[in-house]
Amino acid sequence: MSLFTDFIQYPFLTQALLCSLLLAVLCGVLSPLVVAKKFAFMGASISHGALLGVATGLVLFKDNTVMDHILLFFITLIITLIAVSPLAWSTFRQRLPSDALIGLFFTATMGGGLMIHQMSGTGKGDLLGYLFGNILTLGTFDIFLLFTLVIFVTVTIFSKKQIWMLFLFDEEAAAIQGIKTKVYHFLFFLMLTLVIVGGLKISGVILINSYLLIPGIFALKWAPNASQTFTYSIVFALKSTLLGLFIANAFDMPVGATLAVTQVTLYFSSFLYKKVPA
Amino acid sequence: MNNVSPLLDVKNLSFSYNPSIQDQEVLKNVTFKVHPGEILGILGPNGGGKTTLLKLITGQLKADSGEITFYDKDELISRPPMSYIPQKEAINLSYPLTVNELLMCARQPFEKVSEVEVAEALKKVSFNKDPHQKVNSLSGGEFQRVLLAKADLNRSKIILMDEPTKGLDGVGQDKLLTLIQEFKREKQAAILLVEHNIAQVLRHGDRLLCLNRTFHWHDHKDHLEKNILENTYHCEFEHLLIHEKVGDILAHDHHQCEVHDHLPHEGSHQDNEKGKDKDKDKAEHESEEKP
Repeated sequence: MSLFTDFIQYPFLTQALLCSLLLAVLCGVLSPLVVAKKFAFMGASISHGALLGVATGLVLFKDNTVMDHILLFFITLIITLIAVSPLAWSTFRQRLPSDALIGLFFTATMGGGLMIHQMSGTGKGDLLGYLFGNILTLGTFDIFLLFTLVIFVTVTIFSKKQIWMLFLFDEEAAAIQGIKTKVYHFLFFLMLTLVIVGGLKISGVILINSYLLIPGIFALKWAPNASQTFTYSIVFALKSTLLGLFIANAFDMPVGATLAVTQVTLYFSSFLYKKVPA
Repeated sequence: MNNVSPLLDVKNLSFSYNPSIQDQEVLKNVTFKVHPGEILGILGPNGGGKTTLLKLITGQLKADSGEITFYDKDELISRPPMSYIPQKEAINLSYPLTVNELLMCARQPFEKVSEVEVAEALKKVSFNKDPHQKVNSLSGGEFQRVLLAKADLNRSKIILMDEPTKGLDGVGQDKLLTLIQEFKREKQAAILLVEHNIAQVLRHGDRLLCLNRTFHWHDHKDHLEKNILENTYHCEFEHLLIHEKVGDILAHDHHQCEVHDHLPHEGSHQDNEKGKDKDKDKAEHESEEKP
């Protein structure tokens, strides 16, 4: 029983639960877009690129105050956005072979981040927390931030759901039909960067990609139509988050890693479930 | 000669993917018109500039020089509603969009389409299957018909089709092209049909545009000659039935054609005379062969 009540009893676990559920909704909404746009590797690249922003932010804002947390988020976001913008520009209508460019971006930004971190002499623990996620660093600001992001992303996608669906299905035809595909392309990159930077503390640079991919892969595989991919993805992300947090708490495992493994296990289990006759 | 004003008027269109390199033009001084209720068949080899031309018309690429103008009943307009119908392989087949969902997006970003309108549009194109099935589960012919229904809902005045009959059997090709014929008549739309199937283009197209980079020929299909096709494809057509009036065509000396940038092996008048007898013999075979 205590395994369940822990999440109410201990404030840090309550905050972790709330933040994880908000991140699950965020990634649940965005994940079908990432998978359908075939930008799986792009998500990994941006999350690793965010390390440059985090390393710079940790040099500038070392104190553990709320204001430092806010400034750290914004400096990470701004630096990541600046770094991502040439990538977003070059992948619009495939101007350059995107896989090679993503590889370049990935290596350059992550390498830069590690160099800044090394030169600044900041403690290793700070950066490790951002690499693999650390729920102990979550606070009220994170709940507020993730809640704001949930509102922004859901409104942006659901208010123009048909346009997003057409954009994902056939970008060329959407452009000919009069849809400003360039705006939607850059909006997609903005949302992706916001979600990655917002979720770094929970899943970390390395593991947030599981949140961005697995719910979408599940949804695109099993949803009966494009409209329901969002519902399938959100429900999958929420269920796997609850299960992952419970397992992490029960067996004293790192949260980010447990969430990633739980999601992958649940995804493959879905094939077994589908094969069982009704 | 068509006295109705064209829907699309292309004048001296030139385009190069790398303008800094000379003689790398993909299209050079291409000129043609498409009228309402007309199918323009676009023929040419791979890499001849057909897809580039479609992209220029749809505004995805910008021409280096030349003009693309659109008209609506003699009045110059910025851009009419347009639809692009690609091959099935060109779309995102992993995305589970249903036929119903796709057609309900037909008028985005301007207005929504009701389910009743979707059902009517599908009926017009003889699509009798469940509209809630995924687009990626459709056959090539069904996919093309669904996109034609989308063009109808979109009130498209210009429809660009990129090899719509690819992968279809003879019956499927005829059905689809007959449907396109009905569509252009009913909607008075201009249809640009990029095709490798010369026989189908000659049967269903009204005018032709033979295109191979800097070479182009544009006129009514009755004025097409064997040497024009050979100049377009850079190869000889051993057995070619151009169309039912093949005898008239081969005897036609004074055809109207615009040939820009004469190619080295382009048929001269003398070559045409020599080729006539040979062509007549070949026409007896009543067979066709794609290059």
